[in-house]
Amino acid sequence: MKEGQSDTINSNSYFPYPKEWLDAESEDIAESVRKWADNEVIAKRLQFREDLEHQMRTLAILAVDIGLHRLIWPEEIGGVGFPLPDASSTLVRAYEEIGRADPGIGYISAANIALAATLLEDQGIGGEMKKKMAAAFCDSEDVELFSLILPGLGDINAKSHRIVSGREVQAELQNEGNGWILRAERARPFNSGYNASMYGVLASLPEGLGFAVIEADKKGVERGELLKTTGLSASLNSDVSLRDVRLSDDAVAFVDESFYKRLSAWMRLLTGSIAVGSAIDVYRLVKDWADNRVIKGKGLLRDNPMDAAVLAQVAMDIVNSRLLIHNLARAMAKPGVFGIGGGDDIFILSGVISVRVLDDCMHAINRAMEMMGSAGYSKEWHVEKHWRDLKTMQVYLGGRTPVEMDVARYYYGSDVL
Amino acid sequence: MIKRNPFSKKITSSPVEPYVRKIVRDWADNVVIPKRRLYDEDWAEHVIIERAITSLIAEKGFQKALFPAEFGGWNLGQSDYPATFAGWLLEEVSRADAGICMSLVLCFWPLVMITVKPHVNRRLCAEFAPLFLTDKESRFAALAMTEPQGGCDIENVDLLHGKTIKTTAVLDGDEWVINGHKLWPSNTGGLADLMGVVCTTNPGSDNDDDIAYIYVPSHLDGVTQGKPYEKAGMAADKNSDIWFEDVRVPSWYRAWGPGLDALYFREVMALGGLACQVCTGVMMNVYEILYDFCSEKTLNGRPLKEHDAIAAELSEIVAAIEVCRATAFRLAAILDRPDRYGQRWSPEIIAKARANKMFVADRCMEECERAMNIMGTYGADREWDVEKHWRDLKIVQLFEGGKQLCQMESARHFFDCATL
Repeated sequence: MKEGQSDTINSNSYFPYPKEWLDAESEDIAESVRKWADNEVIAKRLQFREDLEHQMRTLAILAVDIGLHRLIWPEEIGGVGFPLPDASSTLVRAYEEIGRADPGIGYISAANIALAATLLEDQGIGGEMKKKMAAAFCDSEDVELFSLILPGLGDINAKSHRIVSGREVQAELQNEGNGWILRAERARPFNSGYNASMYGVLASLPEGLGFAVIEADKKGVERGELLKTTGLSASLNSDVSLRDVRLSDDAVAFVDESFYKRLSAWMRLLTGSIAVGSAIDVYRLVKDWADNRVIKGKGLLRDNPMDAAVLAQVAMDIVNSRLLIHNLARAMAKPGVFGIGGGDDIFILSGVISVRVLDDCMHAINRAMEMMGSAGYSKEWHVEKHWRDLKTMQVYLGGRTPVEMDVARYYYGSDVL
Repeated sequence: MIKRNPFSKKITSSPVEPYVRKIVRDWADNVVIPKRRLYDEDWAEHVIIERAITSLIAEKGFQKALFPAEFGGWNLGQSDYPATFAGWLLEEVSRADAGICMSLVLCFWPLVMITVKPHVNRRLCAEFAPLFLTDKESRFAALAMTEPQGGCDIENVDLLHGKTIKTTAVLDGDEWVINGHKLWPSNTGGLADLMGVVCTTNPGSDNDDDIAYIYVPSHLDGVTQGKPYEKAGMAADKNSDIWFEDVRVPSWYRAWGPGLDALYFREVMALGGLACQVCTGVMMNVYEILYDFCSEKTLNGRPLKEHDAIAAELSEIVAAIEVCRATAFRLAAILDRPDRYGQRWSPEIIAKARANKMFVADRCMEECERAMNIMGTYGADREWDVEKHWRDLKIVQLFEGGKQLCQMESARHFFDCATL
């Protein structure tokens, strides 16, 4: 069975997750996304490969027709009204299915939903900004892509900005008369910097932090050249410079570090779910290989003890990762037990779990590629795309060391890190 | 961009090494590195890539290196350091582009059977050397081993003795008639001028005498090279299916004959251990890139290289490069001197080559991933080239039977396993 055939494994029955944490409506949503994944993406992989127009068309079906991007917005402003933070498990199931199809589509969608969830939960965000965002998510017949510019690595030649959780803020806001001036020099967005219609920018203020929402066509927004990247082809990224971009008061919200932590936790939850879905699709592909490949002129690959051990590791990585990511969703859904969103408890837990899940899913895919040899490396079989996508997602999350510093601060009180 | 490179110094005691490295490094820095980001889009057409390959293997003469001097070659196959020499080359070329390195390797690999002492087939050298003696055009050789079913089984000679080979060679008068289907040889997809083809003269036999290694010029009737595969990386290395339909070659195109073909084919497999230098060459360049990146980019207000936790990660990378290079060139020294260490076709040397290749490929892949992780969102940029090296390295880990064949062949020798 090569890619393009739609004989998909029912991941629900193969890899367990705590079903009691999802209601029937959540499973219905997951089922809709599952059909989208099988029919719109997996069945057409050989035809469209990484064609951007096809990726954007399928994203529109997901976000607008199925309504995933309206899911968590309140009904009174045009959304479906799934309450936060309870919707976390629902989102995990949906993004697992998207990850199975195309992690790149999942990634840009996840950035949008993580931003929406953060804005909805953060009490410091004003009603005007929420309405503006709701309109973009709920009223449009097209997908409005938001690009996130968040703290990350800095540059030795750049003017120093504020540090948030050891990361360097990439932009600065200055109050000027009746509005604001936003500046950044070659900031590196988290996603979609090249073709987003809106940017969400976490910027330093003389005192504290501000979050700004700006239209991509606003004067002073300068996109760099399209970055060619390893994977996540649906996310067209570029560096972005913001040259004295003038903003009105309603485009800027005063926030604190909890905004970044909350946004990070949502993003980690959703990208972890995508990674699990991606690994589940690789499992399907390598299982088919192992079911049909004869080695040493006699037995099937799956029946050779050495290969069976490797195949087992693939499955074990997925089982562990899936349980972990559903547990993170549950923890985020129960702030009374595990700590509030935006707090250190969930921020650290999300970092620990996402690093582990991404590592394990990468490990699973790497081992699956060993089993498939050169076929795993060939674009025809699609395993290599999952491999490239997950690695890209892993590094876009910032890598391991910044999370280790967070963990050391939290568990050991290492305040100077 | 490159400020410093401690890995450019000599790693062997040979006075020749600095000169060879300098020639290749100048070529790499001027011809390949400035253009290698264009290679991914050139994977099918191969216009930019072939220009670079020609400037190395033809214009600098490496494509004739193995042939004895009496046939116009450099006599490398007669020397006491063919593997070490190849190691320097492979490192320096892979530092620029591992895909081009595979093209270079395949100038040597299929010809080992007839050009390297103690087994020089002078009649075949005289036949094929003229093809490679030009300095105007690149000539491509390919080693056709892998088949659609069972892949690396063919390389597992000591266990299967050719039992699974489906490509057949039938003697008809004074010609071999070859039929079969091969996958994945480097330098195919229309490139190959000459192929070394692993066949069986008796399908299903597990007798070494029935393994035949036969040279097939690609222009012959019945030879078809398919379209190149689209892959995750290694754009400069073209691979495709090859079909042989009633292809006729003279009977003396068989390298040595019953028993010896299988024996020397094992030696070819052992020399595959030089893939270690492909890995270390890649990592030398990853180090250079990281040096710049970690000096320019900051975390928590400090340059990355001055951040203690990042510095610890960086030290793991250089430690791996140091150890893997030492390992790789130790293996090359062993391969160079069968008089001291044992014949290259012996199970012991094959096991050592497999173990070294497995260790070095795994470790370098791991460290390349670590480099990408350190670079955060920039680690996936083609602009920094580390992600390209990561994509390229992966196939080195997977080819030559991948990790699992390396495991079996090393375990078989070191633990006297009877059934692996």
